[in-house]
Amino acid sequence: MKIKTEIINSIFIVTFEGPRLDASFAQDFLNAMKGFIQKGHLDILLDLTAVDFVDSTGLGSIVRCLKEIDSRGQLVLCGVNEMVLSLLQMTRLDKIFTRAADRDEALNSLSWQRPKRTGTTISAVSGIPKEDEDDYAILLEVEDADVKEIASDERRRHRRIGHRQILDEDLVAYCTNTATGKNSTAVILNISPGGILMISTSHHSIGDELLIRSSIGKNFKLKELTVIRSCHDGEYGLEFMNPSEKTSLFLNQLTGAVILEHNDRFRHF
Amino acid sequence: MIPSSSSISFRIPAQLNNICLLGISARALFSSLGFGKTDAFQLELAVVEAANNIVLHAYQQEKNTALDMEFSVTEDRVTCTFVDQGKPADFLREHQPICRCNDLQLLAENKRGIALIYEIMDEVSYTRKEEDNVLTLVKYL
Repeated sequence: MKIKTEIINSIFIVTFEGPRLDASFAQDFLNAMKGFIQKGHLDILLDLTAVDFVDSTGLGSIVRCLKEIDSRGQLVLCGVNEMVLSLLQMTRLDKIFTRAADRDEALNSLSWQRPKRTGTTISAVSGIPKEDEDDYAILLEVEDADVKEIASDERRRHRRIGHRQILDEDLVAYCTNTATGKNSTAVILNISPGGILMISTSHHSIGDELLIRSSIGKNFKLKELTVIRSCHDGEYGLEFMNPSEKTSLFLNQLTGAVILEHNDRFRHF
Repeated sequence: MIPSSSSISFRIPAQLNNICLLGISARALFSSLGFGKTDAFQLELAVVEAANNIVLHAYQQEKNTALDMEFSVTEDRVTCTFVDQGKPADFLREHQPICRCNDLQLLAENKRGIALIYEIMDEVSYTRKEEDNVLTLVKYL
């Protein structure tokens, strides 16, 4: 039994390439999934199209994945055939798992849930030269050497701006972990309407919620709740959870944001 | 079509990766007896769950062990009899109804196998005969 992984629109897709998710494969599957989740892949589509048999151990491994993700993301199953569905119904897990008929429906569901959950808004408009399109960059990059990335539209939603493009001096952020109350400082490396990339000597974990306070120039005070989406060598990718209109407007103007259409394509003005 | 009063016997190495042989055979057998696609899947599931429990609990994944299974068909029923020489393991005693809990964090990750066997089969029993564990699952036709 094999699984294939890919990323489409920031949704991590796990596809079974064999027909059985049973006790002989469940532990390997679970170990792999735990690794993906630890790397920050919290919105996961599980494509079961090829699967025609799941036993209780296989099912338990999916329940465990759901618990690992908890409320930090979403796990959607697609391609569940009538036989596997009967297992979900017998175990009452049909009420627990989110299901979609096919991959497209699942991707749509996950794509819409994601901005709703994080509260990210993209509203302001300013002229972006066409040639700058390639600069629309990855703000929250997940290290994942073993995963082939197929598309990255989601990651192009925000244009980031480096701190040196804003100030000559370091852009310092004061962080408060909302769960522990612990305070720490960090240096912002880049910022966008979606979040920030910062470097810190303090230890944080993926999923930690941090209240970030910083001053950008003399007039703008940033105070936003964020969640850590990635970490690598002391660099943390933080996503704004529900940025205020003031912050969104300021950062959109600062970075020169774009409006995204429903199909996630850029519209230039 | 499997003729009535016939039986098919299997002996497999008692390892998790061999259990699919029993499962696939069970599905094919029940399909040939007229069970629909979903019913045949569920009957395969019951057979696999029983075999999983033998490998995991009676043999505790010990190597060089074997699991015998016999399908016997009569006019009104199919009987699946599992025989192993592992430690006495009446895992049927652990039978708990399937959790109706909707709270994810309270939801059990495992322990659904026995409940599924009881849900799917019409009769389930375990006996110890000398050095053998004998588990019997019956489905009425």
